[in-house]
Amino acid sequence: MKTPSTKMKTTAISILSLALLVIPGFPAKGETGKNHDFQGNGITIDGEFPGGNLILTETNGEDTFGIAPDLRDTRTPWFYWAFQVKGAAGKTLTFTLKPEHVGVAGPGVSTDGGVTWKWLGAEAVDNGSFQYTFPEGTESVRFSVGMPYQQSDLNRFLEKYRGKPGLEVGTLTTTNKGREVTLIKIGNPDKPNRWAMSVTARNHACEMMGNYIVEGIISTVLADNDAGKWLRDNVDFFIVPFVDTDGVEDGDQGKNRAPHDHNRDYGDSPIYPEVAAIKKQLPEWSNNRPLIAIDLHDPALRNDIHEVLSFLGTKNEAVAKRLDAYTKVLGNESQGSIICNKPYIMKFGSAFNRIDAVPPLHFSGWASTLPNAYLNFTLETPYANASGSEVNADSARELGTDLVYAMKVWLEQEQP
Amino acid sequence: MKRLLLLFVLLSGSMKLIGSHEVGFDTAPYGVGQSIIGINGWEPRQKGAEAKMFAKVVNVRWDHEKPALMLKGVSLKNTETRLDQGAGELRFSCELAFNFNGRIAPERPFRIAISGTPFSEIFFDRSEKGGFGFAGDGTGRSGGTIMVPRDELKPNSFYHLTTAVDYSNGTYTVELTGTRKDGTPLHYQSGEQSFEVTPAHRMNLGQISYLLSAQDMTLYLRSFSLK
Repeated sequence: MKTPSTKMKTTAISILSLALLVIPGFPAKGETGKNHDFQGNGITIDGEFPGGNLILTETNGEDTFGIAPDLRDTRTPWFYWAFQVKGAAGKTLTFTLKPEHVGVAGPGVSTDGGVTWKWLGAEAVDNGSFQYTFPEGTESVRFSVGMPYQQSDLNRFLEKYRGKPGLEVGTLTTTNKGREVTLIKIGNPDKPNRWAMSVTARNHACEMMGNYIVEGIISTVLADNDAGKWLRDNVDFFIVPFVDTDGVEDGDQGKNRAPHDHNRDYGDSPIYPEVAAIKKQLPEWSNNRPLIAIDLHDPALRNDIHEVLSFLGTKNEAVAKRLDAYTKVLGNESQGSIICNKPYIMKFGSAFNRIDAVPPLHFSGWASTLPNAYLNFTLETPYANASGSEVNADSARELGTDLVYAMKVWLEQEQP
Repeated sequence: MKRLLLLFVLLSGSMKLIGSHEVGFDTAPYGVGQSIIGINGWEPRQKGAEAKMFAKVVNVRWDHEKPALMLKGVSLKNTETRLDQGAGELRFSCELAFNFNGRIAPERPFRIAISGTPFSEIFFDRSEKGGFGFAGDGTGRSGGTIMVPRDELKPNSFYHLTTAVDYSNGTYTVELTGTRKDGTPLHYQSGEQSFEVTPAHRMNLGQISYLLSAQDMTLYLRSFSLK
C-alpha cells in the first residue's frame, strides 16, 4: 500500500512526465549527444562503463531524463539498460522509462561503482518513472534494470580463492572482439572425479542474476567444510560464467540478437567461437563420465511465470525423471532466502519450454543429447521476485549454495 | 473456553512426565541429519513417512553451520504432564527463524499453540497487514496482536521469543528480540496483559499440549523451552 507521501511523490512524477510530453520544443535545454549520454547543469549521464546501456530519449536539461534500453542488434523489444549519473550529489532527479522496462522491485541502484546493488523498491516507481535523491558526497550512482555483474566482479570474487588447491582459472577461448572467455575448473587435483558437472551463464548477455548463483556454487564447492570436501572429492566442475563475454562487457541485450543469439547457436555450425568451444571442450572434458549440466538464465521482468523460479526439463525422459528426483531433494535441503521447498518444473512442451529443433539449438537441449547426459536443466531465476521471495545478489548466492548442496545429497543417493 | 478445550483434546497424544521441556536440538538424543519424529514425544500431526524428512535437525548454512531443527510444510505435536502444576506459572521461550514467500495459502503458515495459555497461539500472518504476532483466536485464521509487521521481518534471522503466564495474578507478558529486515535491532514487549483465569486454564496446567506448525514455509528452531 502506498503511503500518502509516496502518493504525492508519484503524482508529482506523473505530472512531470506529462509535462515532458507537452512542453513545446522539448527538450528545451541540455544536450543528449548521440542519445547515449548527457552533459549539462553539472550533471553527466552515460553508459560508459562495462555493461553500460542506455538511450537518452528526452530531457528538460535540468532534472528529468527519459531513458530507454539500447537494443543494438536485438530484433525484438527487450529491457536491459544500465547507466551512471555523476555530479548530482544533493540533487533530486527524475527518470522516466516505459513501465515494461522496470522490474517489480524497481531499478537496481549502486552507489559504489557497481560493486554492490540494491533494489530501489516498487513503491519508488510510478508507471515506469522514478525519482532519486543523490546523497551528498556521492560522486557517481549507477542504475539498471537489474544488478549488473561484469568480468571485474568475477575477478574480484575469484581473487579470494587464489591458490586454492583444485581451482583452475583459465580461458575457454577468445571472442570475436578479442576478449578471453573465462573457464573455471574445480575438482580433485590428484584424480578425475566420478561426476562431471558444468555450469554456464550469460548465454543471453543481459541475464546477470545467474552470475550471483555461480558465486554461490563456487564458494560452496571451495568451502572448508564437509560438503565442500565431498563435492571436490566427487565432482569435477566446468564453469563458464560469461558465455557471451562480448555481450556482457559491451552491455548488449544478447537475447534475440541477429542473426541468432548464443542460446540458439548449439546446432551443427556455431557462429560464436565460445559456443563452438563449449561444444568441443565440454564433451572432451567430461570424458564419458555422467554429466550434469546447468544453464542459468533469467526470464522476462514481470508477471506470471516470469516471477517464479523455474526448472526447465528436457525432452530426454531419463534426464527429466532425474530432474524430478533432484528437485525433490532440493526442496528438502534448501535453506536460502529464495524459497524452493516445492520447486516448479516446467516440463518440456509446456509454457515457454518448447524449443524443439533437431538438432537442438539451445545449450540444454544440446547437452541432453550427449551420450553421457545424466541430468541437465535450464534454471530461470527471476530478476527480483521469485513467488514472493526477493531475488537479489545475496539471495541468488544462497540459491547457488542450495543448488549445489542439494546436488551433493542427491548424488550421494545415486549409483551411476 | 470451548476453543481451548477443543485445542486440548486435539493435541492430546502420548504423555511423558517431566517437570520442564528444554531442548537445544544440538545435543543427544537429537542429531544433525536426523528426524526428531519419535524423539521426546514429537509426533507429526499428518500421517505418512514424509513428515520425517521435513522435521529434521540440520546445520544451518546461513548461521555458521550451527544446528537447529528445520521444519518444512509439517505440523508437530507434543504433550507433557507437569509435576509442578501447582506453581501457577508457565514460561515458554524459543529461538526461531523463518523464511516465507508471501504468496501461498494458508494465511498463517506458522503457529505455535500451547494449551492452557490465554493467548491461544503465536503466529506468523503473511497477509498484507500481518506479521509475527500472538493471541489469535485459536483457529489459525484471525485475531491477535502483531509484534513485527510482515515487511519488517528479516527472513533467515533468529528471533528470541519469551512468554510468561502468571495464573495466580491472571497476567501474561510476551517479549521478542531480534533484528529487523533493515538491520536495526528489534525489542518488542507486550507489557502486562490481564486475563480471566478459568478452570480450564488450571486443568491444562497439569498437562500441556503444544502444536508447532510450519506450512508452506521453512521454520528453524534453535531452542525450545517450556517450564
